[in-house]
Amino acid sequence: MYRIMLVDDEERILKALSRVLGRNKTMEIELFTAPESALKRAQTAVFDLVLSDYRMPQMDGVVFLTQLKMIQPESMRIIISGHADLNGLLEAINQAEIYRFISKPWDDYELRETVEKALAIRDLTVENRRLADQVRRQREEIERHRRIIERIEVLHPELMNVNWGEDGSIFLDEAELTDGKGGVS
Amino acid sequence: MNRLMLVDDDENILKAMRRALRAQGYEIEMFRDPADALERAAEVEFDLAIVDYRMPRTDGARFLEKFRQIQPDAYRILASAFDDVELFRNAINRAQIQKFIPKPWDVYVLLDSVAQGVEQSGLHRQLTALKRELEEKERLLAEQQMFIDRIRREHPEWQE
Repeated sequence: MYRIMLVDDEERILKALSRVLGRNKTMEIELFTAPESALKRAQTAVFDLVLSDYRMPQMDGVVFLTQLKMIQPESMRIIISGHADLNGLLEAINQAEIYRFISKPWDDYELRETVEKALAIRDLTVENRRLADQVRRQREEIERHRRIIERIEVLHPELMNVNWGEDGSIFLDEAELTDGKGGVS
Repeated sequence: MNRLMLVDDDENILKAMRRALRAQGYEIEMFRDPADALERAAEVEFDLAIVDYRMPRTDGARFLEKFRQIQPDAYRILASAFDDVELFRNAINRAQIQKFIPKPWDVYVLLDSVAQGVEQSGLHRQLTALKRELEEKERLLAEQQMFIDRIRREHPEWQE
């Protein structure tokens, strides 16, 4: 289940957006008319994606998403706005690292597609990070093993001799055990 | 540099698409014959393929289905005029096409779709590489562990 945050000062727009996105049953959507309360909520719940309006009275969408990025750097951020705001939007790319713009009025199909693709990218990014962490842990473990084997070799070279090739079923090549390929790459 | 494959039986379309994409710094290969394109796909890695739906001997979806088997991480885009929407829907599901671009295309849509596709295929490729690395490391770890266990078993006098 994805958790999605929608922020727009106009309740009517929020409802329309959530109607379009709500057709996808994997999305749990929360609506906010005030960016401040959205930020407060972001302190306690993790959102996969945040879609915000650009023009809002209390705080514009770029400021909001920039602050949100500080709280949840991994959320995908999308801004929705009228074409007239192009200059402000360029600034948004740099400041808040916005993933996409959606222009107002939006096309339902495009809105859904954009959100779904963003979630797919987020899934991949999260999964890649998880695997990379796992690889890092494996590297440490391999290194730890390598040190043990090295100690065996230094202190008890006779053990190495005894054991090498003793068991034909396990092929252990010394180079492989202390291998740079595994440990350093 | 990201490598893109363009497949269309109409040379003018290929050239127009290349014109739009080349400025973005992509390395582009064009094919009028899908068979040649598949052959090439077996030789080098592509980040993304844009394929026309209507071609004389095969259709783009069928082509992408085969292409996917050769290069599962590459992003697949089908391009076509809007007249056969129903056909597409089936085609898209069958070949797991990630994006559809209507013809004639809007340059912004084309560039945006390609940029997004290249990003996604990069992430997929990273994922595949990480999975492979995990497996290799798992194997190495098991071998090391087996060796250390054996030393411990056979030589209880060994102190770590």
